Amino acid sequence: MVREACIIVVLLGAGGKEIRKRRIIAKKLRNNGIIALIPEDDFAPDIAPSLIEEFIFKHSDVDLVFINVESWGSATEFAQFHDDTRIAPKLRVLTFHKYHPLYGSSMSYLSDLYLTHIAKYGHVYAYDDKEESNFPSSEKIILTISIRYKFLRALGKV
Amino acid sequence: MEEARKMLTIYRALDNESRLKILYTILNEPDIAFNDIARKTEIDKPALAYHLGVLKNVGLVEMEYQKRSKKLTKYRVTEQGKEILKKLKLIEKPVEVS
Repeated sequence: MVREACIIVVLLGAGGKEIRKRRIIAKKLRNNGIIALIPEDDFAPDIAPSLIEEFIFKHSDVDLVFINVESWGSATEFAQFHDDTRIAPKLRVLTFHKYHPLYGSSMSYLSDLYLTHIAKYGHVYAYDDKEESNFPSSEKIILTISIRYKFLRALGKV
Repeated sequence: MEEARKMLTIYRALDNESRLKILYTILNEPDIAFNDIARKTEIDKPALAYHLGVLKNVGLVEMEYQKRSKKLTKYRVTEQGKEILKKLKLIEKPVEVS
């Protein structure tokens, strides 16, 4: 029962002011009884982040990995792991709505990669943190999905 | 309710054989370096970094890192961590890590 009532999520994304956003989201997740990890804050700098992430995705007891693709680094992370069948079930991708292949108009390689991921696995969400459209904020997406997943886990449905 | 949720996160953190092993290693040797934890527990370093992250995130251990001196990270069990382990009767006496 205890294992099912608490989930572990990892929040990936860009640094700078974006990490502050992730910290706010992580705090709200913790207030909801969810262990929320931010690699830059929680993982020892003794080991390369790319090595830790591979372990997290493939072998750990992490339940969900949210990746907000906002930088070259996070885009690389997504491209590296998105098609691994061990990783894809845990991955939840967030992208600014203009770059979403279904809602936006971008014709970039990355948007095309999102479309492939949607077709195969789903879980690419459009957000608008500027509140200039009807799309939800990244915070709302992450909180809503995590809390629902937590309940599903408690009920034994995932 | 908030306290109950916090305890649930701690139970989840402790509900893992590797994390328990890591926790007892740190308990037995405060301010132990990352590489020494890896050596004593025989846990791969990427896995160790992840598990330490979970333990740190729920407040059971704390990390010290001094970038300027290039010292490796060191870990110790927090006072809160010791209190919780005592309440759960997990540290009534020193535990040898096998």
